[in-house]
Amino acid sequence: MEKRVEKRRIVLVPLPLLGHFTPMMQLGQALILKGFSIIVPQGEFNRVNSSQKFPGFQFITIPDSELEANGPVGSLTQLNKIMEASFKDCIRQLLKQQGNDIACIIYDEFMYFCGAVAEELKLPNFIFSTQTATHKVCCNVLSKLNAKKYLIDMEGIQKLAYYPLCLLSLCST
Amino acid sequence: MQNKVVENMHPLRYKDLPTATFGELEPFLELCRDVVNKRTASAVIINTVTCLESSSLTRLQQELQIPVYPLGPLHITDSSTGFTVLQEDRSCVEWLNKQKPRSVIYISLGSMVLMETKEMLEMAWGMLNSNQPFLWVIRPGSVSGSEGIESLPEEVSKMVLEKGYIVKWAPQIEVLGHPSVGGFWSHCGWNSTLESIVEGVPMICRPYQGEQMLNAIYLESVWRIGIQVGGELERGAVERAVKRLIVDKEGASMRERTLVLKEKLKASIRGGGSSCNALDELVKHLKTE
Repeated sequence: MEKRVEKRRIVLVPLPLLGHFTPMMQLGQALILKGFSIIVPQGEFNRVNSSQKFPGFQFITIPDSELEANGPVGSLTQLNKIMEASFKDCIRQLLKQQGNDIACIIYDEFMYFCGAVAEELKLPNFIFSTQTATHKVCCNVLSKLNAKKYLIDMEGIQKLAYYPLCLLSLCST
Repeated sequence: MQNKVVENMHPLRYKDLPTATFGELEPFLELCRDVVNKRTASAVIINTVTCLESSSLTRLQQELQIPVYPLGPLHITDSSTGFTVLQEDRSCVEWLNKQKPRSVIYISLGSMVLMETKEMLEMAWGMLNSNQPFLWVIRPGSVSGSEGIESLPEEVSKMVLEKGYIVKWAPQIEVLGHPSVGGFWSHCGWNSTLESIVEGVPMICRPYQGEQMLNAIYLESVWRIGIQVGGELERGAVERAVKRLIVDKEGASMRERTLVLKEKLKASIRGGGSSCNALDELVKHLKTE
């Protein structure tokens, strides 16, 4: 029987915001200590500018474009659209160059385009959440709500601010 | 419906669910659907700790039907890492060295929150009236149309600089671990929350967005290690919150509870701890993919 070759390379895809990027790098570091090597594709425009070197991490710049300021929800949706095609090219290149040795893609839950790419390329993938389990459960509850009915039920309640006002800052990073 | 508790999610009510203030609800719910869509994912890795959220984790696992690996707090999983992306001003540690034990309020609203000048003025007066020393992180550009405290009236900023210490960005973990720090005035982002608990520092919660609001509810009502300051910020409320945390007995019991949680979080990443086991299981899972 052919001996199974261990795949040691992991692609990490952080959301380019400090509070998401930092724990993703910490996860990467924990995985390096367990013997994996880490590749981080980042957009040319939408990235965390860091002066710090991350030893053991390989960063790859992939083409993207600037976001238009259209609110946090719009920015996130747009970011996912902008990144998908170039990310898919990047992974295809990696698979060609490196002889198919990518163990998996681990992506921030807000970079959901990676889930679609991984599905298409049939790559194992894991979702990384930098927030609480409670928050994720709430998102699940919200995802099943009927918008119209919810608005009627919640009439008079001051709407809570949601995704970072400053996701707008994505546009300037 | 508004006051109905979300099934198995006590104390969260439907009105607490984080929704968008900006624009239409439907695009936001669409985003939620994209975010919770697991597609072909093998598992969810999450930077939290079982002892903080065991019922939410159980429910998440049931709903997703794939493994969930809670392996936080990642910032202490490998203590040698110490990633710093923003330039930190370490001069504040010298200043902290000169303060009394557990007397200082550390104020930081994270890397993204924006503050109005009016809110900043109330904050400054409240802190001054509380008569406690404070270390205040003011990022350039975080106060609308201003680089720092120069938007405050001159006599106020003079007093602020006498009683407090201002930096553009602080070495947060080191600050929280300093014996002079007695409380953390925070926007309750999840990283800040974990860092505060790991250093045993109770919090004053001033959340700005949905996810932070959930954390604030948990800090105040579930873990009972925080005081929420909601609504429009007003100097009297700032002063009261600081006194409750630093001077009153209530603050002392919050600190005790924080110290208990601190030990639990530290134990979780040691051999046999829940987060340590989750990381090992994740690695095993990665190797079989």
